[in-house]
Amino acid sequence: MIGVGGTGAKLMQSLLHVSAAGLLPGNGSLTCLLVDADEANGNVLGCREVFDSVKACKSLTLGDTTLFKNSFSLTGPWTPVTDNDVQSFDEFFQYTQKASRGTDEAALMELLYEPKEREMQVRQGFRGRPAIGASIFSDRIDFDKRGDDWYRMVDSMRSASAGGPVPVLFTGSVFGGTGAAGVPTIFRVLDRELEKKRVNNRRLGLILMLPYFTFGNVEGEAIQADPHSFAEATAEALMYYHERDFLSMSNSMYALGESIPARMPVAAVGAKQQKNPPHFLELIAALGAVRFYSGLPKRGDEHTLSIAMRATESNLGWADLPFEDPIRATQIALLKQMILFAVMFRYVYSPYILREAKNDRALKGSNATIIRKHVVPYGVTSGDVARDVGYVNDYVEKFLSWLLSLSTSHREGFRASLTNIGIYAVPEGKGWRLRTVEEFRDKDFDRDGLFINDAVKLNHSTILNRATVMEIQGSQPHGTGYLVRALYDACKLFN
Amino acid sequence: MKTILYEILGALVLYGLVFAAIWILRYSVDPFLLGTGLVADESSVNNQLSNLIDTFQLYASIVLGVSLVCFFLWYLLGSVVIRATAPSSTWIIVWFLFVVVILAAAGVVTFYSQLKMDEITADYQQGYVAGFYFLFGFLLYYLASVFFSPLHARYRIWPARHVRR
Repeated sequence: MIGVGGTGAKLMQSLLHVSAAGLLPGNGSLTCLLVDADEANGNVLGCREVFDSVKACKSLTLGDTTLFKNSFSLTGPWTPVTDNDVQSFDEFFQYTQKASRGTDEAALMELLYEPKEREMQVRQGFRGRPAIGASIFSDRIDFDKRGDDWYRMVDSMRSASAGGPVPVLFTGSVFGGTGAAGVPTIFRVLDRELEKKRVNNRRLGLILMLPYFTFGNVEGEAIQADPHSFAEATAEALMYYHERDFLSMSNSMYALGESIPARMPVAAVGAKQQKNPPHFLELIAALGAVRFYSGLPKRGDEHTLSIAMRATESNLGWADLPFEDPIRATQIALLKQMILFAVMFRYVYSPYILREAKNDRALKGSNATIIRKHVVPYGVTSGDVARDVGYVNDYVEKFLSWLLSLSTSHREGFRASLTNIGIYAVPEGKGWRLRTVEEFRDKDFDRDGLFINDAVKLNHSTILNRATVMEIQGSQPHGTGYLVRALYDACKLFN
Repeated sequence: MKTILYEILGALVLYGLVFAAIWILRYSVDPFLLGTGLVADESSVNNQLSNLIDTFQLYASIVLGVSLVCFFLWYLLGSVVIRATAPSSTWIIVWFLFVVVILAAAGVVTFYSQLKMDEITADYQQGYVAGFYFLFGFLLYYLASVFFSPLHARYRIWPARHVRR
């Protein structure tokens, strides 16, 4: 998977979350590459943090389960502008030297780009100027340079092609700078390279994000992406994809947008300040990725147009999530299981377990049934418990923050009716934040239910009882994996 | 559900055995004494020893009844009232509160039973009877707790962790 720009990184983050919940098919591994001109982009850093957290959880041996079942590798961000001295487009293509010699290249640059664009800083993205980014990307991507991210990626695709189809998914926005420039450019050059390397069983997919958020002006920046031009830029970009026949080149193309965009609270042109809160459309996009990696549409259905939309414009419910029909119930159950596990783990399981295992003496002397059944027999020390529960706790916190954000980062009057966010979050200022452990009220959880309009009424004691007596099925976990696995399996909503 | 049934039935059987033993004692004493020839006629048995046994049976049943009720309250609280995640001290305090109730019941019963037995028994015999009330009231509650406590209290009472699976 190749995620281009801040939006590409956000989609990758969503995919990491849904795959942690076990929605990706099979047990295969996913090789991900982030591409961004801005190495310190907040969205990219956010994605890396989630990846690091998932990787830490992957160090637990959980046995035969859907939790964290897929392996990931994440490289990048690969950045086309690596030279610290190069700040602008002019410097990148050595315009000044070329102009002084009166070359055709310099004349072409003058013809195609305004002076302001040529002088624009390119180390923090392309600020809604895809033409700038496209030139830089096509100049810098080198598949023959050993050790480079692109060389390794193509090499891994070539190796994987021996074992079956190689799905390659490109994600990014069509309305900004980096994604709009990078996705079609990288798609074309990579497709050509894979053709050259005879990776004939490649399946190429695109997830294109149409405008779904907006932001205010950034003070003191002469050139910046202008949300007012997003619609126009999108229309041009889609025309470009159409005219260059991307529909024929790719096996699947997903385009997602929102008629009334959400206003992002933090506006920045780049660096770590450019960290937009997750939006529910990124969950929908991640489900598109799941669909793509599931091999859908099946052979013979190549020319299928699938449309996903909400039943009510102002509301998003479980029924609106675009899962494929044969696996729909299972996928929703897996996502709900992960949400339930995250809430239970953060607010009920982990404080309890960490207290019971605060040191080796306390752990050995603990009379808590769950500890005696799932920890003591497996020779686990209090240090192991603290470390591994810490890993999972760190991840579930990120997962819940993501869930909270995609449930709340939207315009007024819109409601994401997936979970009762009041169970795990409280209003703060204009937004929401996760509840602390002390603020969690299990009575609210039992009374209101975690999922909106859910037939199954959950009770935290019942789940804890289930976890305590859980017998692990299938291949056996190891060490603290027993405990985490029992806690996760207890959150399964139905068989 | 199967486990809950096993635990409740197990406790009932445990208490039932002791109740049965007291009843067997009650109905085997008279024929035994008559059979030995130490007691000549039935009226003297009825008047003295039989009264004693009746009193003992009644008060022992009360103590064991209180003990059984305490165990079931402990079971109920442990299953649905006390949070599974409650600290160890909460479990122990609640368990000991019931011990106090049982011992208090044994104390009250001892007081009343001594009023009735005062004329026909010696002090040391009354001591045995009181000992039985205290010991069995507590012992049955303790044994039931060790073997049949609910899920999250399963290993709370020593040496349950060594004897329960």
